[in-house]
Amino acid sequence: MSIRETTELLLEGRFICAVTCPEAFDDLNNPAVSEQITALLAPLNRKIAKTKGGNAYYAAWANLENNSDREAITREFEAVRNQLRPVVTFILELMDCDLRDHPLNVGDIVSEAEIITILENNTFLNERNVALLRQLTSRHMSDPIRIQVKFIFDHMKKFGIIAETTEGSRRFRITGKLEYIYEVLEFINSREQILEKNTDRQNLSVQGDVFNG
Amino acid sequence: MARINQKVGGAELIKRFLNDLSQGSDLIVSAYSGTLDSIPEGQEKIFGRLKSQRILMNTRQGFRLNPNMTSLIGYLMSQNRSRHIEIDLISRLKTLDRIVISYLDHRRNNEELLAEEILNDIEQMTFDIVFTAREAVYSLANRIQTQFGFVRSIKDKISENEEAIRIATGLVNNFTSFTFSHMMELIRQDTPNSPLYSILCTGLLSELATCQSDLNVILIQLREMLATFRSEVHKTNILKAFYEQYNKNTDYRPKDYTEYELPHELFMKASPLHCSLSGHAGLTEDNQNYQDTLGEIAAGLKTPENIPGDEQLLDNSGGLNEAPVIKSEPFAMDDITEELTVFFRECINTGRELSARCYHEEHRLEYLLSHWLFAVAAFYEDMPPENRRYFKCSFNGHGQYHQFVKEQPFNVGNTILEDVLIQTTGI
Repeated sequence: MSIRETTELLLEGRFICAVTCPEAFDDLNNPAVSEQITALLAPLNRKIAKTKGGNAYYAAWANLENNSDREAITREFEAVRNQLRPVVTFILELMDCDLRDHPLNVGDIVSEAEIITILENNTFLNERNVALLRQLTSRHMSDPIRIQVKFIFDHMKKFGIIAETTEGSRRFRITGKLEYIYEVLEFINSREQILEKNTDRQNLSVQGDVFNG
Repeated sequence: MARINQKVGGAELIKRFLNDLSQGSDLIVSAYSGTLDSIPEGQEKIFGRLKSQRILMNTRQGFRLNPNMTSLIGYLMSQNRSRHIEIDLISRLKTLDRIVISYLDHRRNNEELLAEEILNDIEQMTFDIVFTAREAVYSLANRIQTQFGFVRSIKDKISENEEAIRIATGLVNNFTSFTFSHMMELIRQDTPNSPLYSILCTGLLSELATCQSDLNVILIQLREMLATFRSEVHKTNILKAFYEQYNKNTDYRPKDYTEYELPHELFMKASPLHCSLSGHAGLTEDNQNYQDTLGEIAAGLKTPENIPGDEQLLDNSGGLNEAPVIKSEPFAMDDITEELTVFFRECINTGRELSARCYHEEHRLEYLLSHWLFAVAAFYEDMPPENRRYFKCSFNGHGQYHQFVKEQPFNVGNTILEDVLIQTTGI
């Protein structure tokens, strides 16, 4: 991929990873190319940023001297903040469907057909799926599971969390944006102590059960 | 000589054994894959032979392959299912140490035949030790490569990883128990050109040194992998904690972390700058992806309750009988009218031609220049004819495009306004 195309992808606000744009991702991993792209972005007050895990690149503001740039980051954060709840629910649902105790990572494959089969045979997971659907839309509540799952997968595709391996295959790969979301969650947790509060709450509920029992 | 004869006798047995294995290969493969429920016709004889050699066994649950045979096949197929890694090399090295001392004793007592036999044992033992060490390193490396693929749960992977670190550390400790100086001390006790040198130094010690350096690399990888596994567990815990947080506090929203003077790098993501526009301004492929969502929004906007005022714009016939009433919004000029009045008054007071553009600059008006110029022009045009006759207005501007005809450019298209000049004609 040419330097111009990679730069344009960054300017379009895309997350570039090995799943969505493998060639551009390789370019950005190449220090010589990366340096040239950095020089192209600089006059536009932008620079290359990378997730801590190193699996996704994106364009970030070089500084916030311009007020409109500050407003823009608030808008971007707002968009991410709105995506957090459905994405967390979606990932946990996939983990439960796959009976795995570790989260999905960049490059992992998810098959829509397999998820539909599992949900059709598991009432508990199906109820959770409906709850996830409710977070995204007020429609499709009485639709068959396959329609509901398709809507959810399409929505996650729009969020940029998953990308179809081949158009129409309905098999998806997890993208680098999920790594970004994980890092946002980690940051929020470090400030708001969500994990600690949750653990405390669980301990309290266990104590309560002991006393009630 | 007895030893050699035993080996020759053994060779016949081995050949017969391998021959039986070859003839009974179908039975062995079926038993290995657990599908041998009965003995097929015509194979009873070979089954009998394999059974007598304890290769195949008839149990209550069916026919089973000797576990050692299963392990051997598994090993040959590189599918060693045993998770056990032999690390107790210290005891073997100590035994080797004792055997070497015994060899040296025989040499000192000129018992060459006995020394020769013991040398064979030393060679065999050294090979066993090296083989075990290599196998242990290979098994560990294999586990890293598959990220402990034989277990699925991350918690099991963590315990396997911790176990592997324990094994690797144990192996390193084992290797270091037999040092170069100790070996050289043993070799020096023998005659010059001692065969011990090639067995212990070039063979055993160099192999152990290679294994040790491989193990150090493996240990680093194992520790890194353990950290990764633990971070995965942490990630899962965070996901679950957020899930609970959202479910238990329906109003929960993370704070706005962009309000800081210098927000965290994560929140500095630049907004999209669309490079290639297609059709409509701002219409990109991304927008196309949101077509459904946009469709929903548009559908919501079309509902009558969302339109300000409850006037029906179309008659019941859908506009077929009567032309629909087109609702128009008056152009709001209230805020600018006052400034326009001041501008025209100044024109009267000074009696000079005034440039709207210069006025805009001098008075640092907050309106856009194009907006101001348009307002001045509109104000002049909208004046009652009895007032307008006191003013003269001229528009300065240029055409949208230039066209060259016979090397003379002329403008084509609408004029883009650059300035409006107002002058009084005398009252």
